[in-house]
Amino acid sequence: MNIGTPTRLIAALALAGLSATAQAAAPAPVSAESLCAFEGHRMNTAEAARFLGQATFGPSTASIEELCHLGYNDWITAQFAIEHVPLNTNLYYLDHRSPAPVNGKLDQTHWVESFWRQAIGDGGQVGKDQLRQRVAFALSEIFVVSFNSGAVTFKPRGMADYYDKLGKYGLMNFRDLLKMVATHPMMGLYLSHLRNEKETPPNVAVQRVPDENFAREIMQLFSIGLYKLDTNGERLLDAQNNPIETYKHEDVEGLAKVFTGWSWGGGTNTALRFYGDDDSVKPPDREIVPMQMYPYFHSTSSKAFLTKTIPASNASNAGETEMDQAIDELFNHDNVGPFIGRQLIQRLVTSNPSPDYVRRVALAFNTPGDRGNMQTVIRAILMDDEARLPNARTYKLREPIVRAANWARAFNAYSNSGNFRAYIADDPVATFGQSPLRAPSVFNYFRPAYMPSSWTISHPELVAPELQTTSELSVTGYLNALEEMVRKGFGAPTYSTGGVYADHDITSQYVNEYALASEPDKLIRHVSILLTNDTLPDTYRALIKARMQTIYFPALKSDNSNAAAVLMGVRNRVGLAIYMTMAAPEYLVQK
Amino acid sequence: MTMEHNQSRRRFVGNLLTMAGGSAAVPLAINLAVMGEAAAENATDYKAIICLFLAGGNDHYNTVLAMDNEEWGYYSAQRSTGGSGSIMLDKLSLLKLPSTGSDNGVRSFGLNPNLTALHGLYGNNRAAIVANVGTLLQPIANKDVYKADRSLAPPKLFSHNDQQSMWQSLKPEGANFGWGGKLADAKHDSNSDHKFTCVSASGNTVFLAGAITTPYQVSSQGAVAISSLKSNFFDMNVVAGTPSMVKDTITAARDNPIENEHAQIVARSIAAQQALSTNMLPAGAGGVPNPTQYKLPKVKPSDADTWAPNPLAIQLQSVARIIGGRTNLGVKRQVFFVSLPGFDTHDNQRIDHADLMAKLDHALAYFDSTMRAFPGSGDISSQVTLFTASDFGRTLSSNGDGSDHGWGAHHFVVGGAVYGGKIYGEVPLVALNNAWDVGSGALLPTTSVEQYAATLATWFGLDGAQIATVFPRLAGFSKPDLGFMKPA
Repeated sequence: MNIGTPTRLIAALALAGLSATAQAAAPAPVSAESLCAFEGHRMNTAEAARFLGQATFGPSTASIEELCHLGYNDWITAQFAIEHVPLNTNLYYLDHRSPAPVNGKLDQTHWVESFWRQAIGDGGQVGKDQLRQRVAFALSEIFVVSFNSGAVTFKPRGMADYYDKLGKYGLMNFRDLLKMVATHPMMGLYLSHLRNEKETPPNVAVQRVPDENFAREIMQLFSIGLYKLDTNGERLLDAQNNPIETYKHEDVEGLAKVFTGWSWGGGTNTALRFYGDDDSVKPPDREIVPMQMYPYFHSTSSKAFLTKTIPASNASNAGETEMDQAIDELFNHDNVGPFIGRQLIQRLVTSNPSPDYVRRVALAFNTPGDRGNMQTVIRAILMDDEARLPNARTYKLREPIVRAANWARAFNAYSNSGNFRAYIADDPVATFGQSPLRAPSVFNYFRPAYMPSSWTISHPELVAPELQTTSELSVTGYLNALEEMVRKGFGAPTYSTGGVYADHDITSQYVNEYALASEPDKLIRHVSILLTNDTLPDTYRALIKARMQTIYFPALKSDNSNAAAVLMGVRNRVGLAIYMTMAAPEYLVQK
Repeated sequence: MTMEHNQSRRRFVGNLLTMAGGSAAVPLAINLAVMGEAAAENATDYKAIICLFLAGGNDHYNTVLAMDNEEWGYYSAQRSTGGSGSIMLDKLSLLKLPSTGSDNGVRSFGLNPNLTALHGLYGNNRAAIVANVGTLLQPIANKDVYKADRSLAPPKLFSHNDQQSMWQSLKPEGANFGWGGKLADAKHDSNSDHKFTCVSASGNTVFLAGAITTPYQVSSQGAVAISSLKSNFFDMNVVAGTPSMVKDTITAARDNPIENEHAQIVARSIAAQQALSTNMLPAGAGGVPNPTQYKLPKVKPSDADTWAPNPLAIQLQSVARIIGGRTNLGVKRQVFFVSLPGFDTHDNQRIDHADLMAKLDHALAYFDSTMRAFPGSGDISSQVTLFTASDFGRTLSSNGDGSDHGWGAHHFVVGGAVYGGKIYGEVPLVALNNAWDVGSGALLPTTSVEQYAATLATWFGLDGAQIATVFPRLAGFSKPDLGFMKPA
């Protein structure tokens, strides 16, 4: 391995407190164990770490300390108060990336950079709104749009803006969120209701019908789901004990007519702009501005869906009015609270919430006079007893993106280039196997009700969505990518002077961890708090410790002449502790 | 069968019963293995079935086309919407099928112009078409019967995930076992090792999940090892025993169900890697030939020729590399899954569907040539049968540049054991408002997935009782075997 120059070595040892050579600028190392050991702390470190694993991309030493000071409720309030300012958005990053992208051409790797910059935090204002970031990620797995579709592959600005708006509207009202989703041009391209034309009149020889794609998925996936639900999320049954379908194909046909006539926004509604292929009608921001109505292409016939019948109309504003009526009809459906609430619980807290937990969250969604307030819903999810108190059924598998983010935040990783040059990581063998906004289809990376077939007998009542993308291949890919990440970070390779391969772009200095290298128990506990809210079993800790003690770890000589050997020992002890913890099923399953 | 063996089987099933806490919860599939035991134990041959899933719902109307003037008139009336997005194919470009051997009298049919290799396979009797196959609970006489009582039809028609699941497991989403996995369960005793009985080259799929058969996922990268289990873990002076400590700790059983499942997957991964590292054939030289790139259909006639890698062909290469290790891997019956995504052609269909057809055709040509000149074995094509499946067909009506979700669709079966060169089953008249049109030309299926599957299962070696167990609704259909496979 490349362990760098002597100067760098001494600096690293100094950071670790193993060298007498003082480092004026170096922050004092912190041990997670003592973070909440102050007068008036509101919780202990393990409780704080647990909460931050649910509400953020993972605890850091700083975020644990902040939470211990504020308490859960005030922390949530403070997070909600962080304004969503353009300067801190993904779109802003893409538009102002430094250095400018090659040939000035943005592609989806720039989105990936921005995603990681937000998820990890850039040390300044970007990514401080961790709750928004975590919720946006959760929503991106419900309101799925994916770069995997050729319709949006080359639209990184539009996609970044869509994600920004999931974060913005995700902390506002669900109705506004749903309308944003329905009118965003990226969703319009992805589910093909952008440029969707009205049906031809019945007497015309060549028949054309509206595209039903978005009408179907907005009901099945984005709002009400397939079956009528009790407030607690369980299916209602008819007299024959069968589940009751929420809609029929005729409802899809009726709703599909509402979603005709919508296309590119940002100018006069001419046919040329509706089709949108001509350069003269391609303003630079058309990927971002909401779709607009082109009355000529909007269905004027009556539209029946669910309990609603919109009468035939050729009024010039009918298209916009009907969009609002459709969004209202869906938003006010009894299913939305439990259907969306349960999925958000699954994304943040647990795969198998109790029916009562779902009911409490659905009732928060249904708050009279304030229906659909997402802040109320998110607070209800995070403050619920099932999320906060010890509970044997509260657990879920962490997905690959969350694992990498956990590592980066726990160990204060930063980007050497400042660009967070992470790569697309879809390949489950060679990489972590998950990239943001790159689900295989609108059905996300995994489905909310997935269970492994082996559970049919052993655990028929449980689901584990994230296990759907866990396979013999992916576990190998994860463990190998983990070893590389622990040693050298992740993302694009960087080169030191002379062209020697050094580390990846996103790396950790392990300042806090190096300082604990000579005390295995403390090091293991520190890592366990940050990554497992201190739930790593004693037996497992003992195994790590036993192995750690076999690593060659000499005392540093006063003239620093064996510094290289000491640093090697420090790095290997820290690496072993982190690798073994993150390889453990006890870490992989968030509790 | 010896008495002793019989007892060990009972013990095996008995253990499962104990695990399940009683007989009621034991799936029928476990019994399949016991039922088929006598036949299977004598098996000295090898057979494999490959499911090629066209994910998203293939537009069968632009895959197999009726070419007679009247039907072509109805087709063009729906699809010639004009403009650059029109999804009507040029009749002169179609690949006309030989007229003999169809269940459809004197009507003439043609294939999508990009299916040149498949056209050749059909002409050489190595490929068959099965018409209007779809998910059904029972035969439905016509669209009026369907419209009068929707409960006769499967739940959640037109929904991608549910109809994918119906095709693969005969139930909507949430099913635990697929019929591919149940076929493997039934032939469980044919294989001395079960790690590679069901293999997916395309991710997790319910199709391959059985009660006693756990599917394995393979990639073109072959047998990748966990690096920390080798001797060069990190930079450290590894003390003997570290790798096994790592292995033991991350694979040990846990109380938490997800932790335990994860530990088991890691354990399987390690075992499979060890088996594959010596038994999976290499790609290319000394192994299974690499597929060529496929030629992209031209958008305009003046476009230059371009080629690109075909991920579907590479998946089929991975399948062949596993088949190449069949003897040492201890398998005589295997079920594989490959897939090609992108068939949900709501828009841009003219260009996208042509590309998909070209990929499909190139992959099928590669499959056929590989099986006919298999490394070290010669022609094994009569032992490996590939069939297509898809979420559903599509509507005849166009939305201007695409088509919508349908129901029944035409499918292909390819291999040396296929009675090819024939269309099996009725191709409904291509026209709106015919007896099978449930709306916009979405077809009420005239052949059920279970008939299609059972025909393959019979060739695979399941007996009548096993077939009846795996395909419980088959009894409601008049033809349990569609006749497109040669005798087992």
